[in-house]
Amino acid sequence: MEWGDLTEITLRSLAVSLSATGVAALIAMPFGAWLAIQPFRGRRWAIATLNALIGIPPVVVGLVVYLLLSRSGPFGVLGLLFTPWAMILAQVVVITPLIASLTHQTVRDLWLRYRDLLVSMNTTRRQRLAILLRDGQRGLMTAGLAGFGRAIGEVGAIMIVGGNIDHATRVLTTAITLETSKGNLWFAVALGAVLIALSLVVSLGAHALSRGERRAQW
Amino acid sequence: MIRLLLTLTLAVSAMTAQADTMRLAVTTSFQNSGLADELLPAIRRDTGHDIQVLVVGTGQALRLGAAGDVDAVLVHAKSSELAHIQAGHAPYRREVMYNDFVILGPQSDPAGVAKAETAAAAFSILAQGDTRFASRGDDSGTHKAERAIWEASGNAPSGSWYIETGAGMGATLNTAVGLGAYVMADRASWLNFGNKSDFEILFEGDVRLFNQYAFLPTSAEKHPHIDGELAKSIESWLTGPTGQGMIGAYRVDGVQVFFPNANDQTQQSNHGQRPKLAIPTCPRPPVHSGQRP
Amino acid sequence: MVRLDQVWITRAGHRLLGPATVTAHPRGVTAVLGPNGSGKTTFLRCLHGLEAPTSGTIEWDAEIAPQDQSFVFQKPVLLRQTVRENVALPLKLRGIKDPDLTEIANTFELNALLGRAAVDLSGGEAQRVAMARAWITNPVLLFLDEPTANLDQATTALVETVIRSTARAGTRVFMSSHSRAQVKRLAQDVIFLDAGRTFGPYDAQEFFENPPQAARTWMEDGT
Repeated sequence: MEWGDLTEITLRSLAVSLSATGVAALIAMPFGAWLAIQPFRGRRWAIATLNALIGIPPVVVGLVVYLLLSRSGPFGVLGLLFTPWAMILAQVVVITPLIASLTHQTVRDLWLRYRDLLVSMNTTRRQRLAILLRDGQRGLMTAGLAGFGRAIGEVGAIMIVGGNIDHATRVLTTAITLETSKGNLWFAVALGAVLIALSLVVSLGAHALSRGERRAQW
Repeated sequence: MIRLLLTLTLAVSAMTAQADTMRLAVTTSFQNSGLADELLPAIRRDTGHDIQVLVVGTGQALRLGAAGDVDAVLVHAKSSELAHIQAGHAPYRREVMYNDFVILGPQSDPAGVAKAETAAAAFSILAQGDTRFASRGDDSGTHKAERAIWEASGNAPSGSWYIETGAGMGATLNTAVGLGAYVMADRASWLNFGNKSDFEILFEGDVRLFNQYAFLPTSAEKHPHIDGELAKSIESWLTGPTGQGMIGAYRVDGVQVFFPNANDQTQQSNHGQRPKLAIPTCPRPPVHSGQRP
Repeated sequence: MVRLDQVWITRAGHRLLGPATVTAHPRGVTAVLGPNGSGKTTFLRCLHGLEAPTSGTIEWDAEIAPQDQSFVFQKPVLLRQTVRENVALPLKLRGIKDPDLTEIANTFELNALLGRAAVDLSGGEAQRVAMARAWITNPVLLFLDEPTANLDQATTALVETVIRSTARAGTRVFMSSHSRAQVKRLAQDVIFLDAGRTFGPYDAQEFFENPPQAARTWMEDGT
């Protein structure tokens, strides 16, 4: 592998996992917040199910997404299998429960504090969600970073739906698997170090961004 | 946030947009040998088509072909290939090249397989169970070949000495080296393997260790989205003078690891008929010193 | 006019309020008095609609829309935003962007604090911000739960002045208080609570000159 290749797969890892985290956050954060403020029958069960789904094995997700996107599957005509889109889809499924659960926890704690105020001010459900999500952004950022960390470190699902194709769907984790299988253990470890560095950069970047934007809050 | 997502979407789009891309499922042994990295740029240059290579075991490669998820497969397990054709997943198979399997173990060779006359005899020695043996156990071409040799030796491998890794060639080699277990691998993968430790080739050269690779296009009849011409052009390149020449010229550590034989037989497309010989017109099995620099 | 008829509020088997039977014609400031734990907070919350009665009925003669009511909690609840954003929040919820906060900031002496983060405020500052937020919508009905409990003397004086002028301007105020002196200074009517049971309303002056039987023990306690 050359330097150009390393840059390429690193950028692809970043693009795929950031996209997946973004999409998952758009689904999971409103859902988690809604779950925190909306009482309904079976909410306990919904929360328990959500927490159980955090532990879903990525390989199983990969397999299901593969069966869906396979040419012989229901969405085969889209031709998404073995593309970065399929990898994003699989990662979204893997990390959405995690982000939703962490969002739920953050928002529930805030909701306990703000409930009286927000009810007293006669807020609509939309307004409540907006206020809680905004004020909980530190917790939400942690949720997003946790999701990103799980996405970028994940290999089981994307190996199946992405196929680890050179110059198309190879990312850091699948490259690590490949190099390990070639017996290039030290190179695999070096790729692992790049992966960790990448997570660190994203995490620090997110913290720096939030501090710059909302210094007034903390 | 929205802008970031849009940027990412564009980035991902840029990664996927490609015309005339063909997907080819190949076995780990082909990829790990390094030959793929040699051939792909040349194919791109000569045919103008891009090839995306999926590296999986023979079993999974055939399943991907059956599902229509790849345009063709390059595998090495003849009986499975024939069953695949019989089921209508591929119109024919075209033999492209061969290499051979070798039996590897610690330099000291505690079981003494180096003295064996045949591969089956070597396996009989290992079947005594005094030493361990690491098997792929993943329904791959290599695994199927290994099972065939066990059968020929009259032993049913089982017991704590027989370790099935359920993993690819490289992972299995890592396991074998780690445990000091004997292992069977294709020569190319072994030569390219980076974590050899004190392992070396202890047995080679038996006709049963012959390893034929064949190209099977996915049935365009079953899967209308498959562009048969694309696979055909790749096949023509692989079996033509350029492809065959490059395969024959490829060296790992100065050793030839693949032997082009697309044009050795008059017709080998056998549309599902059983071949007369269990091992097709095998030229002298390649015998190498297995030297390492 | 508001009429409570046999209102009970219980939670997990504990009585928070009840029986509450009151007919009030609020004018100016109505004080809710009573010992600790007698149900003053629950009573105010119930009037505001934060607590639904477990049984019994509440009727207002003229429905006062929720957005015309404000509630100031004993412990101020502020969003993790700036003081300016906290004060402007009710207006923002009504679609008013960048409102002029000069007047309200002057009233509650918040000019120096507007740009500060709400989490950095002292208890007294936070209470003033919470009040400014409650006042900014010019509510018809204002609930104050122990509004000066955590304030120093100067701030208490400021807050009392604001409450008095607001009531004079026509806003009806329900406030609970632990300070009889304060109630004497501010209230026209008194509702007394003991162990969840309501007594009154009484005219404030009369209440202090000639305490009703139910309130006498507590009045003599001197707390």
